[in-house]
Amino acid sequence: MVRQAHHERDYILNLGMRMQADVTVIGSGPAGLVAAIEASRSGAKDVILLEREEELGGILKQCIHNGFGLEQFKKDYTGPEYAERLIDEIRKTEVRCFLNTMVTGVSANRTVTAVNSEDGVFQVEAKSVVLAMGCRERARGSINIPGTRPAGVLTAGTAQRLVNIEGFLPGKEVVILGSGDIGLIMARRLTLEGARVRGVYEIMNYPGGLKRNIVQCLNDFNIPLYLSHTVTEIQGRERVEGVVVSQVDEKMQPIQGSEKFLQCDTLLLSVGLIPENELSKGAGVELSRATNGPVTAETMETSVPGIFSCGNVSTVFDLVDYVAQTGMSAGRNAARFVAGDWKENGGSVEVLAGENVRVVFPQRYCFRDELTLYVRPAKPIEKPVTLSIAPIEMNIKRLYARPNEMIRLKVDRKKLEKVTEPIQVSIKER
Amino acid sequence: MDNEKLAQTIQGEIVQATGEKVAVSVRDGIAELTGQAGSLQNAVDAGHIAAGLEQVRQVVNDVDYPGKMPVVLPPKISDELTGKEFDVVIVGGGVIGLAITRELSRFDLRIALIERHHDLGMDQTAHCNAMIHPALLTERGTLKWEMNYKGNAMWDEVAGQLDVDFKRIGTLVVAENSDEELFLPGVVDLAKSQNDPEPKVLDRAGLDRIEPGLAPNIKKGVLVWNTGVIGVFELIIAYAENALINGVKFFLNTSATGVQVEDGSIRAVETTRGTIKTRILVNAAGLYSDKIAELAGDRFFSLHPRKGETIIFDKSYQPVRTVLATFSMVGERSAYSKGGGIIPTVDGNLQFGPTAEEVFDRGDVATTSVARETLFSRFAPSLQRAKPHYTKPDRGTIITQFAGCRAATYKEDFIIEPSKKVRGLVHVAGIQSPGLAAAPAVAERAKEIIVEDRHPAENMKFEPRRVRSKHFSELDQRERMELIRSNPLYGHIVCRCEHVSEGEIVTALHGGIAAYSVDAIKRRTRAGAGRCQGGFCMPRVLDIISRESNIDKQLATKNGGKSFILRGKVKQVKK
Ligand SMILES: Cc1cc2nc3c(=O)[nH]c(=O)nc-3n(C[C@H](O)[C@H](O)[C@H](O)COP(=O)(O)OP(=O)(O)OC[C@H]3O[C@@H](n4cnc5c(N)ncnc54)[C@H](O)[C@@H]3O)c2cc1C
Ligand SMILES: Cc1cc2nc3c(=O)[nH]c(=O)nc-3n(C[C@H](O)[C@H](O)[C@H](O)COP(=O)(O)OP(=O)(O)OC[C@H]3O[C@@H](n4cnc5c(N)ncnc54)[C@H](O)[C@@H]3O)c2cc1C
Repeated sequence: MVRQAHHERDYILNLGMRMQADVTVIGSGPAGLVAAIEASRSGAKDVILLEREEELGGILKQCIHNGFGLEQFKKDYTGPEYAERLIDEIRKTEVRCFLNTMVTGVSANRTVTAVNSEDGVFQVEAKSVVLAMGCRERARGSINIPGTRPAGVLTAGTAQRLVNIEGFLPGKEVVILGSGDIGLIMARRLTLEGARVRGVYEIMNYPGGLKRNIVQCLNDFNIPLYLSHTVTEIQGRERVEGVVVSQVDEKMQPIQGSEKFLQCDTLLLSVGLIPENELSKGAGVELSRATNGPVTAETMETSVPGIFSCGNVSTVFDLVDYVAQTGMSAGRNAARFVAGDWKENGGSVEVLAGENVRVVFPQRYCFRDELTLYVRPAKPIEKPVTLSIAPIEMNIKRLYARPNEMIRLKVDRKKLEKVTEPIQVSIKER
Repeated sequence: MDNEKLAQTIQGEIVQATGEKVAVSVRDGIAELTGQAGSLQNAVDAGHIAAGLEQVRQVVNDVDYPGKMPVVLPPKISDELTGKEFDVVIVGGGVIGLAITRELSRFDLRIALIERHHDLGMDQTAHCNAMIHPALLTERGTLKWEMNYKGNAMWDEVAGQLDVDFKRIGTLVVAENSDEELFLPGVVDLAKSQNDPEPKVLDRAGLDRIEPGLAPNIKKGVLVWNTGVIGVFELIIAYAENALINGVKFFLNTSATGVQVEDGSIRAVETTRGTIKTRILVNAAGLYSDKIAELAGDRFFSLHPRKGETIIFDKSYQPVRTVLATFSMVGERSAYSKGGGIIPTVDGNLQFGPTAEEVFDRGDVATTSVARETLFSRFAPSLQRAKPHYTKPDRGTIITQFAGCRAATYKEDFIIEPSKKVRGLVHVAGIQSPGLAAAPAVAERAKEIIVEDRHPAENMKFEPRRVRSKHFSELDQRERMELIRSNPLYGHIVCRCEHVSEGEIVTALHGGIAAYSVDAIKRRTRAGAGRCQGGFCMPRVLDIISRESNIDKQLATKNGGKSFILRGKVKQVKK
């Protein structure tokens, strides 16, 4: 991890340094780490990785529970262990990592502007850019929880950081709103730390997190999960003193008369993740309404040539293995792009979400690479289903479809060669 | 009409309108209401009815109703301020108290300001919409109108000297059909009488220059140029920093709990931290100014808190440049409040608001889903109709919602006057909307009252200017480089949404008015004010507060008092 010296002239003129690179990767979570490693291994020479935190690893650093890398490494790692494996690998490459470095802008011509304490404001002009900024958590303001604004309302991820990295307890009597994975994991973590978790309240009529997390984090600890419930008021002037929870109807509207007051000092929110795409927007990258991430091809290329994206900045994945997979693809293809191995070919077709499908990723197929589809069902179907891909008549049978379990499937490249119309993925009951 | 007759008339009108039988007495133009009403609304209506009579100067409303909440004074915590003496003590560190410190420090006076919260401006001022209203919608002939009119014109100079963001973005009143176009000349006449330079009816080309992308059916409109928006949090700090330069003393976490009067003159103010001697007491206590008047034995008005809620959108959603108003929106104004609108901020976050609702508790800052829906369904369609090509307003882009109460008197007018009973007591009360717009004029009026009475010498060393500390996000590349080189902490971005650096946070913590809370940092630097609402930076800000102020992290608060963020340590601390 070497650093390039300032150009003297630029230094004197206070302009900040300019660097050239083959590939610039933004973000060092699993997606960015894998992308940088893979780009370097695929022949890209100057690979620069920019990370705003003081350590590599992204969100993995605070996920001290296990369940990472089952597929990729065939091991059951904790988040930090998984990250450590990737960091060991990146050390073997020539990738230059800049830590404590915030990227403040990306332009369509692939110039990345960043700032840190040592180099000040500087620019990296790259032949290719990989976006791997991950996602942020939805906050109170965007989900409408009325009431006061006391201390003690925080997102599950912020709580996770406070507990796992800083060693502090954010509360002793906790209500969790939303059954996303981070919330479930924190229910267990806080219980182990002696807090009383009064319950997890989920507005939908099915849980948001993985089945294994419901079992291991709630059931094993006797923490109740209330479906079709939400928090309708926060009380307490300085610190949370309690919340009002209500049952909701099919339209997700609170049912009058079902209100119940729960005394607590903390409300954790686990109500969704939003891909962090402010930089992508600045670069003119087209975003998808369904994923909130860039519209992406199977090569992980976005709508702007030479700008790739991977991991949770593209769409929220459930498993780190999927994230790593997209990072691999983005890194490899960024290197191919730099090498000029990007012949004009047969154009592209759209990949569309059909019946019972909320999200399908990627959204374009360009006939350049294998197509791995990630499909998120729109609603739970607890019956045998067929997942079909038109127009190639690929039909896959499954025992059920659930929104909390993203389905991944590889499509044979040969089958796609002659396709001219959009590819559509749908799920039907059998 | 004699007092008794007047009282009977009032009583009659109240019975007729509300069915409530309340007792009324009138003396020296002050109507006093007592008895029992069935509801808060009826009690408030009774007050308004009494105030509606011209002969009634103010209303003291003691009518009881279910759910009524008395104002409770906080207990004494120390005596550390006892023995201190000033010429002037200002009670209340909202924009009004602060603006008064500036006007009074032009004179050779020893001035102190006391504020009950751990930070300044946290009641009305922090919950307002930061708009410098034109006097257009304020009722002519009232003190409120006069102050609004004068204050509005003063902001260019004040904001300039205090180095605060202030933009005259204008209110654009648009006609959506030919019927409405007929009203536009009237708007022009009104604006002309309000000091607005050259208001005229704009044609479509004129409109396009100001607010591009209006709907095709909008062909004419009027720009009321003197509407402004201001960085209100920066303003609070700016006033305070300027006052510090000019020698004013600030006492935070200090609540006035009593007033000592001797021979009809102010002697001292009792506070939760001791008794401060003073000859002049300025009552700028906002929502509690009636309580301060009562403590001084000069009870002649009552306040009734009227809550306003506002929703704020993400910066990525900036559909308007002006305060855009359609006639349908103006038409929906409520009786006593401006009715709210589509209001941009200097920082680029659009607001819908505020609502207006009479409430029980002056400290009520709770948000409701009813208000959120009311605001959204009221303004979103108007906005979409007026700017159909722009991205549709979307509930998902709302980043937060907030609420605050207005300090309304029953006359619904400002009170800026020397006490008729106690020499040295000056009331600056009932300063509800547009109190921010009016603030410089209100302060000037308060100053005149004091100067007339005491004739203080001028302060030859008065410094009108204050320079703000640097904000990373506002600098160009070269300035950023210079700043980072002089202090590397400016190169470390702590708030990812608003691009606030560690340098700014440290500077704020060592500023003249240092408040060690996460929200105080947010008000000073915008760290945590963006789309993720502090999810990312809160733990980092907590770290910095603890390090710079040398306090245990567990004692750092969200917003003062006992709003502790952490509740202990984990069993085994790694690291
Ligand atoms: C709070 C939280 C907890 C989670 N817990 C789990 C879990 O327990 N198990 C699980 O399987 N999944 C979890 N996830 C999902 C998790 O995000 C993914 O599994 C995986 O870590 C995503 O990898 P990524 O590389 O896409 O993003 P991240 O790991 O989020 O990495 C993104 C990186 O980009 C950096 N970055 C972003 N913007 C900039 C910028 N402008 N300049 C410089 N650097 C930047 C960030 O600092 C970060 O290091 C969690 C997600 C969150 C938000
Ligand atoms: C929702 C809403 C929106 C508004 N929007 C606008 C707008 O866009 N434009 C505009 O011009 N106006 C607006 N206003 C009005 C404006 O906010 C007020 O008129 C103005 O802030 C009043 O300032 P103030 O200093 O009188 O009151 P405050 O800001 O309330 O200050 C009074 C201070 O006194 C302190 N205090 C009270 N009692 C004691 C005590 N016993 N001891 C010590 N300190 C005490 C309080 O803590 C408080 O800080 C709005 C108001 C509301 C509620």
